[in-house]
Amino acid sequence: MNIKFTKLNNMLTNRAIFEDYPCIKYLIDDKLVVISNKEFFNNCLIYKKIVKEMGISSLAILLPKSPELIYYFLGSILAGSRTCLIDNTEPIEKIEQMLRTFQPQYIAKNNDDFSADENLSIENTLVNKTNINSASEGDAVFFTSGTSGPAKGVLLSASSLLASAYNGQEMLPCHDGDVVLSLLPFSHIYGFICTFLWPLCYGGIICLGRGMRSLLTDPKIFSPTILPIIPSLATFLLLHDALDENIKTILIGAGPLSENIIRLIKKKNIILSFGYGLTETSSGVAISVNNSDPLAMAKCPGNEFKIEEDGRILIKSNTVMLGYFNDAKSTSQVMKDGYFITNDIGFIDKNGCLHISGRTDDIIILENGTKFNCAKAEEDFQKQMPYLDFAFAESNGKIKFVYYSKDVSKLEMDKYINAFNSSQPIYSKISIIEKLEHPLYRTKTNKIQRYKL
Amino acid sequence: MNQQNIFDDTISIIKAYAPDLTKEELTMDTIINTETAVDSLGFVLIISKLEGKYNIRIPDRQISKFITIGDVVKYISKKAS
Repeated sequence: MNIKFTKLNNMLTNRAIFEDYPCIKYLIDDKLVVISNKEFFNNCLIYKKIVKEMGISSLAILLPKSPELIYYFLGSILAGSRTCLIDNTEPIEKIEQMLRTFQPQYIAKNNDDFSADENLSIENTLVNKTNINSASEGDAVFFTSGTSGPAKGVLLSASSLLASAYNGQEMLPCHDGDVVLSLLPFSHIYGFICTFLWPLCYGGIICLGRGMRSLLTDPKIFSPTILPIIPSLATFLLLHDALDENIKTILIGAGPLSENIIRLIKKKNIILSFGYGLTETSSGVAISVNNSDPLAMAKCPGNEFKIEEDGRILIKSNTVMLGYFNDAKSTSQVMKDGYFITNDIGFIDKNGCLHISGRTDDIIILENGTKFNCAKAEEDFQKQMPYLDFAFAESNGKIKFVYYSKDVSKLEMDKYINAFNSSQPIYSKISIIEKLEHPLYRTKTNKIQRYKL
Repeated sequence: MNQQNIFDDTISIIKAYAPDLTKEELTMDTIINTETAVDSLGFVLIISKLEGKYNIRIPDRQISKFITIGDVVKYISKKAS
């Protein structure tokens, strides 16, 4: 029977009972380092003390994936502080925007990760230290992907993060001795819950991947039994024959996977599970457990779904956010009678399993799970080429730019597309350009009929 | 190390890791995202091979700024010198 933790301190204390058992594995200069449960627990307490003594009430962590990042995060929550993880490889403008939203009192970062011309201007405005009076555990702010507009801060309690780990464990158990390889950033809720907190709560050994450059070697070095990844990563690892033979389970989150890749993974006798969830629900609320139909996702304990008339999925859960950070208006717009209103469309089959069939709006989901707002991108692009008939669309998880013009040369078109791409993160650049022989199809109100692209 | 050598190395690595290129002839002006079949993860793999070859480290944030093959070649040329 799985323990349902509600306090981080209780979970860590429970884990520390098996004091010599490995907790974290990582590599320094190709040398394997193992941190035992006892050492891990003690270090969390040391960081808790540091945060307390420094009087940090809100902490932003911009560190690369490392034990230090984990100690800061857990120590800060244990100390009662509000804590936020930010991916230090994001474009500087996006990091600044997240920091402006979160307004941390203190930023934990390595200066070596930022070049001389990449100053974070907000650092000059950090407020002075305050006393932490709270005897309870702190909470966390995770940012949404932000490609559908500015990234929104989502406030999640420590207990909802733990509930999310428990819900996952009830559906897809992680056992003592399981090895979970973390290839996803901890700053994204899926990466945090499924590659860190879930195995930490339930006895798995967590191996810290070394980043994008080591994606093909880390699975062979760490020999994971469970691999939580995103669709583009699954495809990449499979096509480069980098799925280690010890892998028993692959958990796919943040988007769909092509039928061909599903077939190839199952051929390796790997259990393939899909998860559905959002930052606002502390990650997964439904997980598939039937390998014959991995796209049919059963609801996790503590979750209720409703499907609106237009197909929109509503979620009631013990893992739903406390609210958008400092944004009561946006919060009220997505909550209705205790349900969180998603922008996803789905249906529930005769077995009670949830299937995702699309989005209600113009947001497309790219192959790495990132959301891309076509309407916003079109608005921006239109400023450069006000008379062009064009649209953004999705093709096999990539961004497609479709246009119709009799007089714009390829050279000129490339110039504008290059300018657009240069302002985008690596995962949201235009990959496909398609020139139509006819104007775009539109509704009577001039809206693009995107499904025809 | 001149730019032509770096260009030749870049092309041979791209061709080795992305054999199904959409464009036959790769030039300094070839746009990585739209004119080759290299996806974002594949591109990082190519960059890591070039880093190893020239013993340099390209920051993650810089990688997303590369548009053309020429951008990569010029950056490495500057760093390696």
